[in-house]
Amino acid sequence: MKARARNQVPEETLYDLESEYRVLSSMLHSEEACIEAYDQLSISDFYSPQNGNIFAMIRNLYERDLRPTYVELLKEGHSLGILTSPNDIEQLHYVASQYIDDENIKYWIKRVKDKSRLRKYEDFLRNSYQSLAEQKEIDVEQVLMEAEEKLTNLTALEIDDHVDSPFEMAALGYDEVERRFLRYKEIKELHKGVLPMDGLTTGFNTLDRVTLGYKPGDLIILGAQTGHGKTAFALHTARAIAVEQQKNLLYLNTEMSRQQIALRWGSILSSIEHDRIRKGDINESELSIILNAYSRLRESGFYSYPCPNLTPEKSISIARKFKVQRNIEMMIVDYVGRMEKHDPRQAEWQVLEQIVKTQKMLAQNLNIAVMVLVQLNPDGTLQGARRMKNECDLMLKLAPLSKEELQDNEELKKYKNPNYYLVIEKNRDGISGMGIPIVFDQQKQTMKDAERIS
Amino acid sequence: MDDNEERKKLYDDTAKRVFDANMRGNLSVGEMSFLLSLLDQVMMKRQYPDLVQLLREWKDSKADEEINLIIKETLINIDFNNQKSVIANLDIIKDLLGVQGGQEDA
Repeated sequence: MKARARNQVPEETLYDLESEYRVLSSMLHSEEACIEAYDQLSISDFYSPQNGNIFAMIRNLYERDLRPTYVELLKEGHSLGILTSPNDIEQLHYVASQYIDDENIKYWIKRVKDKSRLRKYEDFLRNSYQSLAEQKEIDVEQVLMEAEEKLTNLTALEIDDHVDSPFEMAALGYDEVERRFLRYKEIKELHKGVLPMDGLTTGFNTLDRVTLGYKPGDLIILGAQTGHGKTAFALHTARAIAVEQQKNLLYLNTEMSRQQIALRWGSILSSIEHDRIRKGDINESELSIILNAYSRLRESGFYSYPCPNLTPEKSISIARKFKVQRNIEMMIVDYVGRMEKHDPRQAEWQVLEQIVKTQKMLAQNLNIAVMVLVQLNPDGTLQGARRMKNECDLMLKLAPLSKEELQDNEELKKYKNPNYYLVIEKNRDGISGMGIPIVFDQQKQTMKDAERIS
Repeated sequence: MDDNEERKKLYDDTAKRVFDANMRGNLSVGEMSFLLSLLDQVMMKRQYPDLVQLLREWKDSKADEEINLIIKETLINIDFNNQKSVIANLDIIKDLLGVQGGQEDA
């Protein structure tokens, strides 16, 4: 009976070895293709067990932070004793030589995926047919209900589509309330009323208190005018998270070179003026201080990726790679105005909105915090701000304090030397509309909360 | 065949040839592993441009048999997944070639 059902479907309908070879070949020759396939496919999507094994080996190398080239695969196969005969080598060489234009990887992945889904469908039909033939007394309602459930599972896309049942929603709700209840109790008893952090530190005490930190899945937007501390803010955040807390963080910079970023760190971590470091105008004891500062960077979780032609797709691909290989907890994009446009006909705000949407999805899918830096207009406004505000969880603006404000604002007089405001424009989980006075030392590229005069 | 495909083919064919040579017993596992890593560095990863320059210098040098043997063993022992190991071993080779050059000058 099983054979009879199977015989009715031509074999070639159920698999496509050519597509499997081409996906594997592309994974061996292009890192971006590898990231895409790693993300979209699983071993069971391959019809041929041999191709499934090759895919598993590639995945394994990739997860160990080894770029899975053909050479690495040969070495891995050799050390595991898998590649032992000339035939094995011939077969692997054949797979590797099924070249494609690596930019078409999504097309070939879809073909592999489609065949895999078709096989599951065929399996469903075959099992249903067999079960029908074998049962003597049939509960029609039951059989049809079961079939419908299986078929529905097959047609659902295999992404993170998850519908919460009433049971799951109620359990989730109770767990969340219980967690908060216990935390509140702990705050009262152990921390004497100070709320512990929920996410990664922001690097500012007041902002930490208001937001409870940058949480996984959060999109944070920081706006500032040109020359008013976007990169300094980004690196201040990186310092707090990657250097002080040693959490892994990925920093994408579209403007600066590797050398420029490295030099900034010298100043940030040593508190020696950036201009003097750039010129080399330092003495020997300062050189020794800087050496010590870089040793802290060496031990940190800071990963930098200078990328002048960054596109939203590329940022996704890089973030996925660093999530798998380095388990990053945060990504900072400095800055989105410099990302390349998909469509030159689109207005600037439309492009920004699209990028911001992509970054929010990325934050949720990878369960990391994502911070994007945007440039404000000379008048301090941001085009398309309302739409961006809708997408993000936290929107901050960094703005200099004018002389008039410093003279007239009584509240500011309670602080020691504030020169910038960090304004919370939106805060999904707490208070917004407030300005935090901070001290931004442009020479040393450092930022801190302005101290209150007691 | 476009340039990119030609490049991939050259890479794959070379890798296969090196692997075959090991299977036929013409190369030791260490020699094979080094040559495969070298191929990866030149064509895919491009991390250590100094290495290729150094190999050229070695090829053009008239190092004696003993120095050649030490250089070869040093190369085989490089762990390409460990940046420190690569840099340290390349320094050793530079020194060895320098010593040899110095001897010739003398």
